[in-house]
Amino acid sequence: MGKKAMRLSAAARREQNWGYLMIAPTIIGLVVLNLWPFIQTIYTSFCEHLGFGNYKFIGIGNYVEMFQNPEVWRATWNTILFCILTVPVGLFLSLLVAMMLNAKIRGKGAFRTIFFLPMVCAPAAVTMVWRWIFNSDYGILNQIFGTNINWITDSKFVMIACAIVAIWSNIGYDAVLLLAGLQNISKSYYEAAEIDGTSKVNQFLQITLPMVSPTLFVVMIMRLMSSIKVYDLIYMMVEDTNPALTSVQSLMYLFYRETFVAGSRGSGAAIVVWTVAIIGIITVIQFVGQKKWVNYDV
Amino acid sequence: MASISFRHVNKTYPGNVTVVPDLNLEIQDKEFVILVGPSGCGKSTTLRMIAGLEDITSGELYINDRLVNDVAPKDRDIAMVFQNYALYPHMTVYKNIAFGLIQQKVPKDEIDRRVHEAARALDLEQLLNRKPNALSGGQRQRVSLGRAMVRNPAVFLLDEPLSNLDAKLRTAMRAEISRLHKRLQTTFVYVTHDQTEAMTMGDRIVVMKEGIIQQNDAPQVLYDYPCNLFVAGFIGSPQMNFLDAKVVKQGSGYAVQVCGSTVDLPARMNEAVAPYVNKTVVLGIRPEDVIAADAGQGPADGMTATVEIAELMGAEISLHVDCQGNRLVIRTEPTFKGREGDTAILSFKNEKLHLFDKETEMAIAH
Repeated sequence: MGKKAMRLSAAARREQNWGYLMIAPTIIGLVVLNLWPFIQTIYTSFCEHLGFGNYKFIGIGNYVEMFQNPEVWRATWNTILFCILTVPVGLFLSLLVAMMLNAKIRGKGAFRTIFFLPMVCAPAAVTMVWRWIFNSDYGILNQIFGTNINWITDSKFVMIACAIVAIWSNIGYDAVLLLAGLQNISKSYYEAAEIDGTSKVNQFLQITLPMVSPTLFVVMIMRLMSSIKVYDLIYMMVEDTNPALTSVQSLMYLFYRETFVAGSRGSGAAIVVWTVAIIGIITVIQFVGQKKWVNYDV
Repeated sequence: MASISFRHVNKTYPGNVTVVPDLNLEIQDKEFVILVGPSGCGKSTTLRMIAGLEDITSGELYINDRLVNDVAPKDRDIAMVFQNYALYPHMTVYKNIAFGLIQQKVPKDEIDRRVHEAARALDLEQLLNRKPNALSGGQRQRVSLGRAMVRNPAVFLLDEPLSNLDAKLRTAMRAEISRLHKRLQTTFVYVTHDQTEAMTMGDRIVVMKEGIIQQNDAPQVLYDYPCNLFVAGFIGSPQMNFLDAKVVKQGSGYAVQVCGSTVDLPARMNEAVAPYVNKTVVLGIRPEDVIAADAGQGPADGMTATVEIAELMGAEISLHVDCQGNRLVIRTEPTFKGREGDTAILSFKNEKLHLFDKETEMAIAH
């Protein structure tokens, strides 16, 4: 008996070692490509870059300078505003699209492809198309509404323009995730509700929403994080010389300019750490808040 | 309280898939009717048409003499119990039971009274604040019954409500639903594929196959006088034994040659079997109507069979035997001593024989 138990535990150890071996490539990749650079970034944020890879430790100097810089506060606000504009509206529209795709409609497969298409398009191409749509002289948007708005160069509209592109680009992906959540809801709940005389609005509020809330929560976190880290979209939509840049410049865009344009790697690293801190705070708030609205009793 | 009437009802799905071709069925007020049949026989579709969850392609459906083809489910005065219970997992038992009443804007006091009344009747009072995930299968099913009960519907529709329960609980819930029907005095329409549920619970059983009613009668009538091979095989467990038999003239009456032996047919069958002389028919005999005796103890003209499996059930033995190449299942007394490989002498209770036409599969005589 004792011998058998020992043999078994040796087999279990072997299995454990195999397990470690199997996850090793991913773990090594994560450490080399994510964890170590992040630790280095934190270290760099306390240093001044002297050029040619030489750094001098300067304590919290970069942070003091950063918090005194109005451009950082503006970029922080821009980032938060971008999140406010894209996340709730994006989630609402994605859920709407997911519900439409979940309904009994003809050509459902074609619609799913159409909505997912922005996800597989190169962001640069997407942005180029949208820049044409927003073009103040020839753009279709002004043509349709008969307006003459400088969507990309007017500081009042540039943020809205960028938010529209971001929402449009992500609806398909988010809708597919939410669709998977919706398809997990048994049809019999709706049938029972129909027999009970529940209106469609109440069916949505009392059945669909609570039951899709875990998926909605995951999509919200993903969308919020990607919105906080937004860089590429703004970089492609708004040029350096655009007078409206300060109205849309995000923290990541500012980090890029500080680090790679101005060559101030210490300040850039401090901006990254500041962004990570914001993400951390928001994530904690979300996880605390989810207890009130996310329903895991499904 | 309500009667239900199907008049030439047809249900065809897109793609020209006809599930119910032409259904005519009358269900009386306060009756407990069971729709039974194998998967895909159209029994659930029939139930869902009563609920209004499936549109009727053609024909007319009446509830209490009111044409309801185009009436919304909520206006049909029905309640439905689903196979998977359909309890909202994020709501408490109380809220689940009260949900329908809240939708109908019933006053709060009245809701509370009805929920507690149903909970008392179904022994759910201690569970009102729990969520469905914290309940056992049987408790969940009771909650879904409670949800239907509080609405005081004219018709109760139950769609395989016991399928997800284990055997012991199923037996208990069968009795509970029967009691509920007696207490509520309402029309019950119950769908199942389980013939035991059908036999034990209903006032009347409607056996369906491919959307067509095969037989519609009281359980005992169905058991004793199945109208065709399908019903004979479907109702009863273990199922009826079927053997090819040749009808022969025997003196003033008739007999069948089966398993190398000649079995006299009762005189009441004479007229019905006369056209089948020298033809092969299907002989049906229920497992409890075959008498098995140990070798050397049976009648001299008995059929010799070999025991393949002997299942000891305590009160009886279920024998699987091979009789001249025919496999039979027999329910016999525990006094039978033969076991695997032993010889058994079989005889049939003549008055319990059923004969079916081999081609049309319809009953010839019982």
